Amino acid sequence: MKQFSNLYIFCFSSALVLLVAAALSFTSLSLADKQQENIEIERQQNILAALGVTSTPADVLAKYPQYIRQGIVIKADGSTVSGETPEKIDLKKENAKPVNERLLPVYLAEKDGKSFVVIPVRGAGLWGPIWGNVAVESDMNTVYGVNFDHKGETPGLGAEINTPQFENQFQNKKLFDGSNKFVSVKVEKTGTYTPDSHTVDAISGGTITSKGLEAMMHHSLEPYQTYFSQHKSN
Amino acid sequence: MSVFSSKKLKPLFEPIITNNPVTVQVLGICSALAVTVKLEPALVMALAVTAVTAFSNLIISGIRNFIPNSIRIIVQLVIISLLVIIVDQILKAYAYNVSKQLSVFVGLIITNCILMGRLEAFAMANRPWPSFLDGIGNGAGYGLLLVLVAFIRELFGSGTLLGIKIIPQSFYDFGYHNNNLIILPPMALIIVGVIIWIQRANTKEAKK
Repeated sequence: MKQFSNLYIFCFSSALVLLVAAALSFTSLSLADKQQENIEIERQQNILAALGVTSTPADVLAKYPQYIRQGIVIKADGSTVSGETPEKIDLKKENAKPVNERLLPVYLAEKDGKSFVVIPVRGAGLWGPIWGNVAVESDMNTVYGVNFDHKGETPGLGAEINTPQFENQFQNKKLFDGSNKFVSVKVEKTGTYTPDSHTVDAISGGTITSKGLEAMMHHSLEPYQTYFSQHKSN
Repeated sequence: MSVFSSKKLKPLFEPIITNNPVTVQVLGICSALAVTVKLEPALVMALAVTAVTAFSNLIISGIRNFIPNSIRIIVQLVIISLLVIIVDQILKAYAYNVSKQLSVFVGLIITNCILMGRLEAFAMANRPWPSFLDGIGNGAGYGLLLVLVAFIRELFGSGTLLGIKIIPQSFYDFGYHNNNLIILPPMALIIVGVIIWIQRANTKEAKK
């Protein structure tokens, strides 16, 4: 076996690391734009999906402005924060703040002549974060549609939250009860589940994800109560 | 002798069946369990691993005479990591949805024993061209098993193949259910075990 001097080993490893670092920087820089575009496309697709608009990665950039008129950022007291855009809001950071300091993104949307607001939500599932968008009708009470996604929930169980079978259950559910109290939408097990305007059927075998989703709906939408009551149309 | 003669191609074909890295050498089991729920991620994972084994074998074999023995494992890991990160970045740019499904498992190719195993056992002692073939062969052998397991799991676990519905609705109307157990990791282990059993029962070498 050939012996190498310490100096050689030192130079060899330094040169190797420099080469590898250069190759990685080059890859990262040359692909960054394309990756960023994918993330933006996904965000827009998810927002449109909550409105029940199907889009493909190819046509979403053209479709998005047709439905989303404006994005605003509000505070829990309902006031608009100027100089912020909802695209830049990091929900993970905002959720860690006290409710009164949170920046809350709202997308004002229009479909078939009716207006909607789309609220991005974020919470915790079993294995990692779950997130989504909730489209609310102009009465600021009725859920028009939702879209959920997750980082790594169990396939076939918790991961089912992003299937239409689960998401479609949220349509026409109410966020407020008869006496105008915020109740959000609850997730119930079959057996105890009775279809009413505030509950959907949970996913069998995906209890923790389902419960996490229920908590996400409640925590994420609760700060919007004032905004909802100020802007409801009837 | 031509570079495509049957003896030269032995490193390419041997690992696919007779010396399959998963069923015979029992390497890379972890990811074989994790990414085989659906066929599409399994296919992409197979391609990613093949690319990484092939090119890491090629690079390490190319510089094998210059690698100081005392740091060879680190050098191998650096090359593997480099290639895995490049593959991960390319997937994020051009196959975004699949890269989301594979999530951490692309990064975990780095720890796949097949890679280190081939570098130590083959690339460090052989010329670049056979090493490259050996890499493709081992990647393909791993990929073959992945696809086989994913085929069974997606068909019986979700009733689909590549996301297309295969089991007709009328079956479900008669009370047929997708088998949720197949979706969970233990069933992947059982399927891999059954494949290993079938293969060993049918090969002479394993019997001795």
